[in-house]
Amino acid sequence: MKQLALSDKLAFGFTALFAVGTIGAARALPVIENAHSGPGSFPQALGWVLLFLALAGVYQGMKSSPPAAAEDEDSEARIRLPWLGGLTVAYLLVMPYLGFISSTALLFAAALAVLGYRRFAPALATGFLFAFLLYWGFGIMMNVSLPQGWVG
Amino acid sequence: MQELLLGASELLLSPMVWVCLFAGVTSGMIIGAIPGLSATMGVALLVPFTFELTIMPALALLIGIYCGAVYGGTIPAVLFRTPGTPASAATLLDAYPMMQRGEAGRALSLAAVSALVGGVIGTLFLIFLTPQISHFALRFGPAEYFALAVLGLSLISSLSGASMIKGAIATVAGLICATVGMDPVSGYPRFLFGSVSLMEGMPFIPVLIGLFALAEVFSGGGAAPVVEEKKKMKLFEWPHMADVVRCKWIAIRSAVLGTFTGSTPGAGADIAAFLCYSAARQQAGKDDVYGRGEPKGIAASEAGKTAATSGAMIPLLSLGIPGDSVTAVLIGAFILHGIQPGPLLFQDHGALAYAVLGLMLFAHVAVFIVAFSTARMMMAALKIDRRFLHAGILLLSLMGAYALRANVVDCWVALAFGVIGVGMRKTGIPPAPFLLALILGGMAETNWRRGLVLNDGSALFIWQRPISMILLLVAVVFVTLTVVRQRRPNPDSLLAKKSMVE
Repeated sequence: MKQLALSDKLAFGFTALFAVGTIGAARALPVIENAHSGPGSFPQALGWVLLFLALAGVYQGMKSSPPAAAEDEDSEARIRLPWLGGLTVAYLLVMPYLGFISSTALLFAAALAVLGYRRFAPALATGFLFAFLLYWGFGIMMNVSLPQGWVG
Repeated sequence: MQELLLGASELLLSPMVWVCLFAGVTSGMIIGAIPGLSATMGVALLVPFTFELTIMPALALLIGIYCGAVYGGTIPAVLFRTPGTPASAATLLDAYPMMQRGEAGRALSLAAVSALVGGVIGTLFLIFLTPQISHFALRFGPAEYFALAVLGLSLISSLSGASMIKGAIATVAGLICATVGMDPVSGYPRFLFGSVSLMEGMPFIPVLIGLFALAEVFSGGGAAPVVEEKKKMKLFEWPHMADVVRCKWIAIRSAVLGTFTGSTPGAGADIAAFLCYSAARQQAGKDDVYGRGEPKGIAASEAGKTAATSGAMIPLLSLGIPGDSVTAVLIGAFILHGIQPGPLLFQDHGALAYAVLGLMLFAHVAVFIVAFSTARMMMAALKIDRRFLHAGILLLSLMGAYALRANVVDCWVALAFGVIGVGMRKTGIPPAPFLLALILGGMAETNWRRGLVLNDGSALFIWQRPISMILLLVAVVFVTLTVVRQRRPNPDSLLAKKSMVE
């Protein structure tokens, strides 16, 4: 028996957790009397299949695959997900209050900073240009209701 | 018949029809190229613009948007690994590796030619086989639809990449996500976690945007195109004759399969693209390198998805049943202009019906012309600083998700699936099977449970109908072939081992 690669450990671990969660949530759904299947029957069956697959993956991984070498990832790539993800969360929370155009321009400039572009003024100017374009395309042309907020 | 054709050509000869057709194709390509804006949304948004037009220019505009949007999704898929529409997700599997080799022009030109082949063959089927195929699809009941979904899911096995177990995990996870929302039989809400917005089910477009577009932006570095220094990227290329010769049979076969898939109500261009790609991959020869920039992969998915657009028009025109969500919107446009699609269309408005068939054909040709005439401009996007491009894609993706229902929940869904997409990339779980399972999950569950209700709880119903039995047997054969193929020693890995020993 060999050791599982880290990526496999994560993949099968999360899969098993997801499967157990699905089974639990599906079991909480009501069972309809005199019916051949209820709202929870299909997802519950899928949950069990997923759990089986996770266990099969662990077994197969330990039996055959050698542990893969950890991927060499540069520091910029490593910070992208938490920073850009965090910025997006902040954007979605702030947009209704600040308004679409200003919050979009700020997100654009901040995202550029995370991606390594350090000149803030051109980034913000491009952000505003982009935000106005989006506003014109979606808000005016397509009539999508966009938050006005305090600033606009 | 001659009178009808003369009447149809008279309708088609109006200059306004051609202006609207090219305007529709161009705007459709732009809409399709923006992640989150689908062909359905494009057609739905532009229906009000046709109020002032007469029926033929109005239909030319809408059909142009439909065909243009389906092709338009390919452009960002090739250039940025960000499919503009769900149907283009299959194309990127081989088109993006080609782009990384510095062959974006070759990939785009091959996609345009394949789309033309698929469109023309699909429209020829539309013209000659409309009544037959529609009648066949009409015989489908729950057993057949369930079997069709199983067949679609079995095709996923060939999209699983290196690990079939990880492919299967992605499939089952996709099926579980498809159960979010209202139970199709009892109407009971499932897995909403307090959000009423999820009542209609897991929003498909935000999931697509998250898994492909946002995951690309979030994972960044490794996914950026690595073009060899020595190789200069060509910004425009005519189709390579060698590619056309190599892919011709795959394109023709995929066009036929795509037309049939598109003509089945509920199965649109997205399912057709994956189905044709998987079928092509299943028949891979020794020299074929699917998933690593194989031109046949592009030809299969592009021909299949474009043929499906014509296929979807078959039940619409002959029976008044939409083949996919876009044709469902198109029905509304027909009715809006006083025309009721269905069996009486050819009888009461014969000339118009044939003119619509002609429009479909010319729309595919127009897509080809616009695709080539704007290719250089589209490819110029590659010169944009990737930091600006990624920031732009991030915003455009969030807007695309939001614009669908003007609901911020869709942005949260896209963000969540962006993070999940990064996780999937890092752990080697393929996102394509997840996506296909999410599309097919509703069809599978609804028809399985309907079948159980209709057959007093007996699961044997799927084997009691010949069409469903054949579809299931094909699915079994497909999975068996894939497993056997995967167990066979891979020549690449043998070579690698040999070189390591040496």
